[in-house]
Amino acid sequence: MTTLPTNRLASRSAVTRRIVAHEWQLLRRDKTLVLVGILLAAAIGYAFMNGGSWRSTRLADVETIAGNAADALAANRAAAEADERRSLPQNVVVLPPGPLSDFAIGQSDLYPYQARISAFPRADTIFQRYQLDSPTSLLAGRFDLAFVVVFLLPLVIIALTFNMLSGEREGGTLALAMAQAVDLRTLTAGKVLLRLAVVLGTTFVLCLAGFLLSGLGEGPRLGRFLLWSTVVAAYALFWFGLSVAVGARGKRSETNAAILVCLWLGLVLILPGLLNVVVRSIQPVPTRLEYLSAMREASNEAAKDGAKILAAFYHEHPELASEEQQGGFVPRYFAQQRKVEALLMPILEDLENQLAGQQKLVERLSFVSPAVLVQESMNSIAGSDLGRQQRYAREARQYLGDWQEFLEPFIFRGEQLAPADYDALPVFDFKEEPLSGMTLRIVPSLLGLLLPALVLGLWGWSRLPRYQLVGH
Amino acid sequence: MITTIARKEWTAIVRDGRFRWTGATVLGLLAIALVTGWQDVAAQRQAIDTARHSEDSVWLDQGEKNPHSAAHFGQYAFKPTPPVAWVDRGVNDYLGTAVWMEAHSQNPFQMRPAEDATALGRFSALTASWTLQLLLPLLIVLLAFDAFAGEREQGTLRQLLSLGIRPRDLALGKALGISMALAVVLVPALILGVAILLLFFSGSGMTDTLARALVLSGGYLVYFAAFLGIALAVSAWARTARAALLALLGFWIISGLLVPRLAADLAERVHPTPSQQAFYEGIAEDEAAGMNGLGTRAERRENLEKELLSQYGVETLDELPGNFAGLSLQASEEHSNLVFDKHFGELWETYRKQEDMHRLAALASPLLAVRALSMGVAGTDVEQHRHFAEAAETHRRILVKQLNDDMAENAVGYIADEALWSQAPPFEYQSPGLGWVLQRQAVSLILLALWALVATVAAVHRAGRLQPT
Repeated sequence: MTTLPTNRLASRSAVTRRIVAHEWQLLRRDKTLVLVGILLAAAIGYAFMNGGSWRSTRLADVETIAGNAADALAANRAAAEADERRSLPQNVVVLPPGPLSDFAIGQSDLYPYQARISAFPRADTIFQRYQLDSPTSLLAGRFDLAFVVVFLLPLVIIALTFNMLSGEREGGTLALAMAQAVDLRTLTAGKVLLRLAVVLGTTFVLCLAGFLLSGLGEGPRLGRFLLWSTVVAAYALFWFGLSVAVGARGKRSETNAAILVCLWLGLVLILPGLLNVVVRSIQPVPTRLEYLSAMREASNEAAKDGAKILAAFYHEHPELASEEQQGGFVPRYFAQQRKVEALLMPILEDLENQLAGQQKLVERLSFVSPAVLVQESMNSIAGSDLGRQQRYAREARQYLGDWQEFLEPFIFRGEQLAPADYDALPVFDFKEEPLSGMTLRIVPSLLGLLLPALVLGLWGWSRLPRYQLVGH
Repeated sequence: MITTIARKEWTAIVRDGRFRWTGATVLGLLAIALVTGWQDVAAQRQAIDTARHSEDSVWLDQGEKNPHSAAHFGQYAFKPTPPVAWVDRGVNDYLGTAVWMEAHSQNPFQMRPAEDATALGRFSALTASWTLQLLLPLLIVLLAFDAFAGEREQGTLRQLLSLGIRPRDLALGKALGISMALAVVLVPALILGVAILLLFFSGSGMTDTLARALVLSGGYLVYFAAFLGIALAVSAWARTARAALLALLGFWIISGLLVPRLAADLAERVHPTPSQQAFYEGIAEDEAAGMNGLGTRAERRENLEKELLSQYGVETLDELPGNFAGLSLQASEEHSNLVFDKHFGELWETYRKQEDMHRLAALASPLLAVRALSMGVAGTDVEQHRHFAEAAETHRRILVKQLNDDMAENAVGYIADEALWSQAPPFEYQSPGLGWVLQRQAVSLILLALWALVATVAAVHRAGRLQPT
């Protein structure tokens, strides 16, 4: 096990190269492993197709909605220019699918992505258009790249590594190899490096191909793709570290496989479910039904007090009062809706703050399970996360407020917009989070993957000299 | 002989540390899932009850107004959560709990619990059905993979066979022994479940609930039997315990993780659901152009006017008895109902075709068969959501018609009050019974039974051809 210290490094790298070449020959001839590789490639390809078609469908839908809204607004303006009868201008603001959402659909298939903006909706009711996706599909979850990475990639790594050393020992070749001028650490390093290269190589080559096929056109995609790749690599390293640590304990191949599969089960399937239970009991969120009841009561009261609410409004804004509008339906309804909104928004905001608190707790606890950490990071990078959705909701509500504030004087004076007024209508501009901010947000998650990977790998590394070369 | 083998198998399993750990874990998870699931369902039922009462009083307390204003105010219907949903939430989290029944439109359901999920939402929730469908089979695999392959590797299989044991008895004994070990996990969970059921969900409909619990338990037992048969067959067939374990794990992953997602994708591809945009555009187009050649909105109104004028033999609308607006509103409502029947009908049909494909995909995954059965019996599947949605829509039509008729019978400018609101028919929803559900789950029942049958035959057949080496 000891060679001359002077040329130790040089000889080690030469030996590693030879080990890698030799291992490659072995892996290539192992039918099971070739099959596993083909399955991984097929899963990635399928996931790419699936995610890509989901994103392009959503993109087309969003473009249709936005196009229709722009057409309606233009028609409204044309009516103003021709001085014809017209309703108050309306708009629809959409949330395009996240820049990399073909990689991770996340929960964006559940969230609303259009808000109807006009004089009458309230901030609590602009997102009531629901998507119609099959509920059973939503229950089963999507077969996207994030699913392949989070659930299947660890299994591929386990299949490739569970008998790296134990298999050679059981075949009797380990002692034979050790009789050569090579130590167990160099041998292990060579084996791990090759397998890492195979796993990450397959994954990245296919993902890069898919990424290039789906079009580099949009600016933020490349940076996000690189960030996404880093997260995948860190997750893969975690599972390699875990497998090395388990393998270094010197158990039989079957035992290693069983332990690794149980760890996979625990980290990927059971812990997230348990986290869900823990989070919901530490930080329960009230049901939306309470909001609904409050909404009904507030609407009822406002409708009954319609005249009083309108009178109070004119009292506050005497400059808007005009003879013929005082009893009109439009200003009365507008004033009622604002009153109901003022009563309801605190309830809704309270509920959403509690949801955000729950999400914060999940983010903190997610360090317990690398699978949750990776899923969350991927959702953020893809733009399929809750945070982006909530930002969109906030900005759309803000925009609704701006729109109505703009229309308010027209409504109460009973006037219509002049063509020139259309240029002054507020504009909605949703900006994606800059890459720098996102990178900073992902760093703790990366550390949460790499540190355990390092600790596990080093622990295994330190145990290797004590590895029993024969037996079992 | 069989009992001796079973006793030996049982002793070997119970003395194995691995079983103690995995069994305790599964039992613990099942207990957590049952308790938290019961709390969830109880809270949900409570919340729905409160919301329904509040809605009732809001309706009566709406003050004096035109009946059509009341129709616009409308009513909310709340989908009841059946007690058995505590074992299987099904697709409930992805479908809304409340629907607004108002004039002019059939609304989609609101308040989908899944929308309020954190980033953990894409992982499976720890529910009893998830534990039973996914984790229990894995426990069976771990207990059974070396039943034959292990004995063969250790050389004890040759001894056993030399004693003249019939291979079929050997298989049966092994199956019994493993079942006894499984019972250690399942019986306490069942006792906990029944205790929760009797203590907290008693009351009206208890016999129905108990019958459902019984069918549910039976369904899961058949599912476990299928997995046990497959595991024993593979163990008898594989040359090494390791190969048996790998093959069984592969099957478990395919059945539990891959096929459900692939089937869902495939179903959406073959029978795509429309985007909300396209769906509502279709409704708006039919509203404007008119259904069944009834003409555009203006034409329909004109025809109605003509018809009424000739019916009452008067010249102008003002001479009509009552209020023309009420008649016109009801006529437009009836036209809209045709539009909704067409579009929502198509949407439900799309869902049904998708569900049919999921059910057929159970040919590749026993989990899909038991999942469909379990959701159905728990009352949390798509079909029972449709049943409720259609009942709510029927109620909406009755309610709106009553208000429009009242408006038509009275003079222009008439204002109604609580006397009319209290005449509104109550929405008493009767959820479908167990027979209705089982009839619709026939395919799943057959496929589940088929899996169990094929697995048993395979296990017996493979055991009959056991090779000692």
